[in-house]
Amino acid sequence: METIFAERLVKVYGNGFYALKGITLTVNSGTVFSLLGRNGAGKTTFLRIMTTQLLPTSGTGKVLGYDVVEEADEVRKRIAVVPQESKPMYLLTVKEHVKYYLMMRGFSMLEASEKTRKVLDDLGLKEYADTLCMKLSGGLKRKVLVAMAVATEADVIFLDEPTTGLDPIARRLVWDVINRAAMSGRTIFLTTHNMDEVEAVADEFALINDGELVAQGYVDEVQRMLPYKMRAEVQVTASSPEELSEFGEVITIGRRLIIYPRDEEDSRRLYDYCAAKGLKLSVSPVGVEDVFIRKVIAHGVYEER
Amino acid sequence: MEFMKNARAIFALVMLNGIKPVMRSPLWLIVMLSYPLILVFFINIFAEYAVVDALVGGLISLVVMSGIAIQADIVWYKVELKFQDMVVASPVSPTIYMVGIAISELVYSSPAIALFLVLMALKGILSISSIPMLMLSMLLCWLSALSLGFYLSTRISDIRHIWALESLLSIVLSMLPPIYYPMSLLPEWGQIVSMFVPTTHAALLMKEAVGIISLMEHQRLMSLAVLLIWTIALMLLAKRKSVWREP
Repeated sequence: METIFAERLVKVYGNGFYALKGITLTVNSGTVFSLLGRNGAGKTTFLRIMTTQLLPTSGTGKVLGYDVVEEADEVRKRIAVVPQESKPMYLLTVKEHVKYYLMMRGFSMLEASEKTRKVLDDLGLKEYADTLCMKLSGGLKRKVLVAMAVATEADVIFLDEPTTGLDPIARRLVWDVINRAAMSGRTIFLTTHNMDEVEAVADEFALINDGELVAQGYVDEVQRMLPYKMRAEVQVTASSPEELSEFGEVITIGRRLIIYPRDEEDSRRLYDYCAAKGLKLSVSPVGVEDVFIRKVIAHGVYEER
Repeated sequence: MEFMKNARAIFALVMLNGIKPVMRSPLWLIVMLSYPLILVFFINIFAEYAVVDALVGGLISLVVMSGIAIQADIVWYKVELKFQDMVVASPVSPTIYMVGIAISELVYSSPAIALFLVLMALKGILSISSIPMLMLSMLLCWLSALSLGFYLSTRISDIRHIWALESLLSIVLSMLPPIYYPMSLLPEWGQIVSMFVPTTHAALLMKEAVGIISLMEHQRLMSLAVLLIWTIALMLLAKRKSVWREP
């Protein structure tokens, strides 16, 4: 069943900037779906439209069959969102955040208290229940916000870059929460510019660039989206792209050279070449990052923002 | 059922924006009280005859500040914490959100309001018969200020602009007009200009209610009408022109 459906969704801001250029996207229920893209690609705009915070310029957006423009109230009853760079209130405890947010959404005090206890238990926040949020680390603060959304028992949870700005340990804390929430069978839609995050939590992903979808697929089947099975990486200072191009397609990203060998023979020759030259080589199966590299960077549409 | 849900939402907003923060940082109660009390203190020293005017002025100032304060909180929630985005994408309506935050602001000002009422009683200017008009005028001032505050908060996205605007509005609505001092101290042109400010009319009605001044019947009706028109106009502005869902 389609939980999120967008058809030819366009958003043009007042200054004439096209944030979305006709996005068509479907997210099935019970999946963790990630919208991947660099900063300014249109991820947040898409999420804000689907969560009824922003009106589209044209096109259709539906959540659980309800139109996000015409039936916003119905959508709002069924979703919960954690906005990008959101922060908890400094003078409230973890427990109070969840409980009062649930009461705001209409739960009775008894129900809110019970659900709060359960979600803090489930998400490993029980020991911080009475801690003021100003005393929590960045990762725990973000975890509290995700807990607020999860506790609502909304059918669809939207997370806008839930781990941006967090250190690797804090990111894993949040991923853990997302994975636990996903086990309850709800649909989770998250935006990110982090490839690791997609591989760590998502079932399915779409890649957005300059307001357009450039790829979509299952994370487990990412190899089908690419013409190569393996990728190799060497430091750019150690060799030049021209030298390595005989072993496959070469893409330079900063100080990294990514080589996509065409077949096993190319891989073997590349290994021998690096061994002979004493170059450090790392080889791995292609992943989400390679989709991003090939669809965005390799097409020359990437510029640092 | 819907009423209960709305009541719970308002209760939750009052708890999270009012009662809990005040309990953990009671300094705000003193901050809220200090501004009007300092004015009353100096007026008492330099113009003791006007101290009863100043007590009425303090009450008006407190409700106006309490109403206007909504804009700083809402912009803080919208821009800094992004909490408002969570509220917009939830079943909570903008009206319930505004009411909840507005009542939570009263948590900060109500001890100061109570103190000013006690001071008025000690000065012998508070009677049972004066209370209805005091309450009505204060309510209309509060509704006007908070409607204006809510409207501005949805239009402005920089917290620094809000701080400046809050101070400016506070001066325009509760410092310059003749609420802390008798209107007769203003020159004629000043009296005419002050009639365009809603708090002037609230002060006239409240000062008459406590027996400091006397108004003709038509003056009383005019002040009530002007205050009412301001309140309705600002409430309509908040209802119709506030930006909840971004265009």
